[in-house]
Amino acid sequence: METGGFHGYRKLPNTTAGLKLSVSDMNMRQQVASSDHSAATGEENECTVREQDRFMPIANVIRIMRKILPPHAKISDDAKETIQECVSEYISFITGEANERCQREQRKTITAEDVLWAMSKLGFDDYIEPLTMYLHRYRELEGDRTSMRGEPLGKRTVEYATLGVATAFVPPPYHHHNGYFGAAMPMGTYVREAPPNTASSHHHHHHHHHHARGISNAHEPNARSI
Amino acid sequence: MVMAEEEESGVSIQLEFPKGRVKKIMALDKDVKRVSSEALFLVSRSTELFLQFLAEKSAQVAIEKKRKTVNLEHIREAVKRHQPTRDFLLDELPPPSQPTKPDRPTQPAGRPKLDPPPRGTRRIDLFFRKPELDDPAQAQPPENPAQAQPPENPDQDQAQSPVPVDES
Repeated sequence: METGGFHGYRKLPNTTAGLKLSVSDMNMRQQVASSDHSAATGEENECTVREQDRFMPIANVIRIMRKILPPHAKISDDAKETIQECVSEYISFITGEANERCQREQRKTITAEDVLWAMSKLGFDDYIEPLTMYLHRYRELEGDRTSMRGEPLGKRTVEYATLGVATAFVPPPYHHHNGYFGAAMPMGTYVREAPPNTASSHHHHHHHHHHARGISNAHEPNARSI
Repeated sequence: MVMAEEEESGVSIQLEFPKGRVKKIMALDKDVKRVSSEALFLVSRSTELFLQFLAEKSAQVAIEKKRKTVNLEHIREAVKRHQPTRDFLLDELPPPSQPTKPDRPTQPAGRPKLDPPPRGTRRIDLFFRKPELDDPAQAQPPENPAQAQPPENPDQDQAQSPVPVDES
């Protein structure tokens, strides 16, 4: 009985830890997905403002220009660099104006309306009509995304169920790999592994501290062993 | 989720610029606290329109000057022709003297005397052109050096092309 209990105790944390790691990964991805959060923006601003991040990727810039330029046209290197700077300057220019209106109305989030207003004020009226059309399509798509969000939730449920199934699998593996060598061997193995068990238990506790569920699972094995 | 969103947006509203980069550039202004996803989308899209405009106008200028390569001066001219763009961008462009700088590394190799200021450089060019024209008329032996010089002439033409003032 005790031997069986110990075997279960050892295997349980590894399996559960792995699954929980994947869960934490999902959480991290969700956090990344919700990068619109002001804290995230602040962090990005504080953490890194690399030279590379001050400009649009040159590949994207060139690709868009190619669509407009005559087939055989070429672009000098200084022109490419200047265009990159022009584009960044434009973004900062529009952003500054939109943010000014946003703050004047004592709001903290720059909205699409603020951007459109900035276009008009800064003389880019020609852009308002196409941008308004793009915005409408974007909002329609956003509606579709809302329905799509249901599926990710479903996926999470499935994963949760999988986690439960994995937990259910823990009790069955009474057959330790050493057990295959005979009934007498398990006893010997148990005695020899006494010190490693202690060390292992410490490690398990360490892991459990990272996951609340792990802690609850740890209690059960202890109770069984006692 | 990010991948899925990109795929969906690719279907009907394809963005050429990475939103993450646009967002970082917007965040360079520390007064900016939050940006809604719609606003971020509009700025990205608007930036594409602006780039297309800039490319189109620069190409027109290059064509007017009968050039196949769009360079800094063509961009400057395009910016000057559009009041709203000129207002925020003209002062940000590299000063006119910079186009000459790239030429200097090439010219000194051929003719160190071209180091002087742009205007001085132009005068020296004119000065040297006259002697070259006189040389062939004087004697045949000078013609040999003239043949040797042709390889340099194309370089001069290329060097001069970035300077519209010379062309005008």
